[in-house]
Amino acid sequence: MANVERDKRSLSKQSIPCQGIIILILRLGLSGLFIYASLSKIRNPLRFKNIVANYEVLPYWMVNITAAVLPWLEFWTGVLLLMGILVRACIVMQGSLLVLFILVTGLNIARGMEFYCGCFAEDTIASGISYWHIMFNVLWLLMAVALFILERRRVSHRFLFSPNPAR
Amino acid sequence: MWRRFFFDLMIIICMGIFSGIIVNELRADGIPLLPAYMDSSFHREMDLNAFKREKCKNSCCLIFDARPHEFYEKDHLMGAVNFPPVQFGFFHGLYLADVPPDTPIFVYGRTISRACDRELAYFLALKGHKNVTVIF
Repeated sequence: MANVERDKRSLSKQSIPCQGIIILILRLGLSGLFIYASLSKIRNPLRFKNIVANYEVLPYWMVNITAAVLPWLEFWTGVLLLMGILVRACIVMQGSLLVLFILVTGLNIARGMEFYCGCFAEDTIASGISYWHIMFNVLWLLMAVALFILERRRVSHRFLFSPNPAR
Repeated sequence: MWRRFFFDLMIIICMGIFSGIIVNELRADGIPLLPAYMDSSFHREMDLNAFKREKCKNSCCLIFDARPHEFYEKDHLMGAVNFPPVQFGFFHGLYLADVPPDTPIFVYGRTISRACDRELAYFLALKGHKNVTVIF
């Protein structure tokens, strides 16, 4: 009886095919996206401050603090996720940031405003406020949700060197 | 488990806040964490109804809409010209090069944020304009 129970448990724990590879791809994708997005904002804080002010959603006293801190939050979640440290917390933080970006973008589309979103460097295809931009963020949010479901570990740095995660 | 998870979240948030503040303070092109225009002693404030009455009495005033161009294009006060503080140097030369410093200037930028109007009023005060009023 105990053996049957153990088998049932192991079956339910059995990973989906190529789970390790999927987790690796999602982690690399999300961390790459956030590190890349943070760098252009960190490089030019004044420009990013003007972009945050352009959104017209934050009270004026929060604009500068947000412009100084937000890129570093993106940067650290990207770096920690890449290194496999505090993985689930990083995924939740990235998911929260993506939800925030979707809401803010949606609000400005609803107000009929279309301007440079500031997510990436100015000449990239993902820049600009549009429904396509929201879809792009929703896609990344779905990837974060998938990674949160698949990745159950808090620290998974070993995974960087071995595609089969040690459970 | 949840306690540990929230602890992890706190670690990430603290890392972001501390590195953001420290790097911003160290770099030469850092931005002030609290904007200088928080101090409202640089300008007067007036609500929209009071402004309409004032405008009737004072026809030689200038009205600037400090919001981004997209907001201005959508709707703006009659007689207002767009003057986003991001391009202050350009627009100051365009609109205010020959204007005496005591000319009444009304700055409009009524949004949730109110960052643009206060910033523009602050920049105008720094340029020596003594009669700047923010309409809210």
